[in-house]
Amino acid sequence: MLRCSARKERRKAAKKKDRNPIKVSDGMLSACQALGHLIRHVSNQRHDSALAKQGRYRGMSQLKKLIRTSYSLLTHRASFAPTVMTQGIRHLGTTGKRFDLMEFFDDPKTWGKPKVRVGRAWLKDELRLRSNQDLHQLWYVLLKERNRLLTLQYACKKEVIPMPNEERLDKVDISMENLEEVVRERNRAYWELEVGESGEQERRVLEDSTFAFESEYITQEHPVPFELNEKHREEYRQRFWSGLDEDTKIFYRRYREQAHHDMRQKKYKDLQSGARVLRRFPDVNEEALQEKYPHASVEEMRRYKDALGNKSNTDVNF
Amino acid sequence: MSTRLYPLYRKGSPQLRVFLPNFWMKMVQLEHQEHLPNQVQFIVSSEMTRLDVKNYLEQIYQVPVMDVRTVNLTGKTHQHRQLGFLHKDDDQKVAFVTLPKDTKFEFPDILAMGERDQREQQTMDEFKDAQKAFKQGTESKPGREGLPSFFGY
Repeated sequence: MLRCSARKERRKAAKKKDRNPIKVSDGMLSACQALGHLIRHVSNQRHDSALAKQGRYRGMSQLKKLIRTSYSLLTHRASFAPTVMTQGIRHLGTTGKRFDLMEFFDDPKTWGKPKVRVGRAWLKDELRLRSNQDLHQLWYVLLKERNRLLTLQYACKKEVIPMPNEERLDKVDISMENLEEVVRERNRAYWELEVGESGEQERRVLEDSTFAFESEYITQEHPVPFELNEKHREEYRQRFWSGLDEDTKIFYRRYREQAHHDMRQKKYKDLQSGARVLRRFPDVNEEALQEKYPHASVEEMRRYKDALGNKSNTDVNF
Repeated sequence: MSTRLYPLYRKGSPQLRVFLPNFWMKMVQLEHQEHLPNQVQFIVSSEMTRLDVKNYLEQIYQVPVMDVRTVNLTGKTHQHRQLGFLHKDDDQKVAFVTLPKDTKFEFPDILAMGERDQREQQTMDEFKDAQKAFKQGTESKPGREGLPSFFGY
C-alpha cells in the first residue's frame, strides 16, 4: 500500500510538472503584478473616457501616454505566446550563471586568438516563435554580449591590434534590432485590438524656424496641458512658428533658388530625351514615355524642336 | 536605465519599469598608477547617470557597488596635415566605480599580450636565422654575396 501511494504521488507530481513547464521567477511575478496595475489603470481610463467629451480631462490622451511603456506586454505571456507553439521548441540555453565583473570579458579560451567563430544573428521569424519571457531573457544575453565585445574592441584599439571577428558586434546589433521589432509588433497588435490605436509614439512633421526645413517633432508628456502651459507654448512657438529673421530669409531664398534650378535642369533633360524618342518612334506609347520622363509632359515634348526631325520648319506653324 | 520615453510619473501611478534597457558599458583598464585594488573604470553611454550605473551593475551583473563617480570627456579634435579638414573623436562618459572594501579586481590580460610578444620575438629570430643562413650560403661565391638564386648560379 505504501509503495502504491508513493507511486501515485510521483505521478501526480509529474503531471503537475507537465502543466507548468516554465518556472516563474520572483522578478517576473512582480512584473506581472505591475502589469495587472497597468491593465486596471487602462480599464479605469477607458471607463472615464466618456467624461472626456464633457471636457473634464482627456481620457484618451492619458491612454496614449500609457502606451509608451510598450514593453509591459513582455510579461503578458498568456495572450501572445501560445503555449502550444512553444511546446515543441527548445528553451533558451543560457550558460552557467556567473554574476561577476568577469562577465565583461570573453571566454578565457579565446583570449589572444586571431579568429573566434560564432553563428549568425537571430532572425525575426525565429524570434516570433518565442515567448515573451524567452525574448526578455535573450535581450539580457545580447546586452551582456555587446558589453563584452565593446570591451574587447576598446582594448584592441588601444593596443592597435585587429579585433578578432569584429562582425560579431554587428550580429548582436542586428539581433537586438530584430528582437525589439518583434516586441513592438506584439504591442501594436495588442493595442489595436484593445484600444483601436497603434501604441506607437506620436510624431509630427513641422517646419523648423531656424532653417525653415521640415523637421520631426516627437510629442512628449507635460504635467500641464498645452493651452495652459505658457512656457512650453513659447518654446514651441520660438522653435516652429516664429518668423524668419533676415539672414535666414536670404539663406532660404538662395536655397529655394538652387532647388528651382535643379528642377529646371531635370525638366529640360527629360524634355530633350523624350523628344528624341518621339522623333525616332512617333507612335510610341505615351503612358510609358511619361513614366520614364516624368518631369515634362508629352505635349511639350511633341512641340519641342528635337521632336521635329528632318522635316522642314516651314511645315510647322508655331 | 534606457533612452526610451516613459509616461510622466504622477503620485500613485504604478512604478515605471525598464524591460529592455539599451544602455551599454565597457570596462577599461585603469590608467592611474595609484589606484586602489577595489576600483574599476568604465566607459558608459553618455545618457547614463551615476544611479543608472549603480543599478545596471547591481541588477544585471549582480555586483555590489559602493560608490560611482562620472566625468564627461570631450573628444579631441585633429586637423589633417595636408588637406586641413577637422576631425573630432567621440565624446565619452567615464565612470569610476568603487567596489566593497575586501574585494579585489585586476584587469585580465584579454589580448594575451605576453604570448603575442613572445610569438613576435620568435618569428623575428627565425627570420634572422634564415638571413644568416642565406648569407653563409652565398659567401662561397666570390663577387656574388647576397645575390638570390634567380640571377644565375
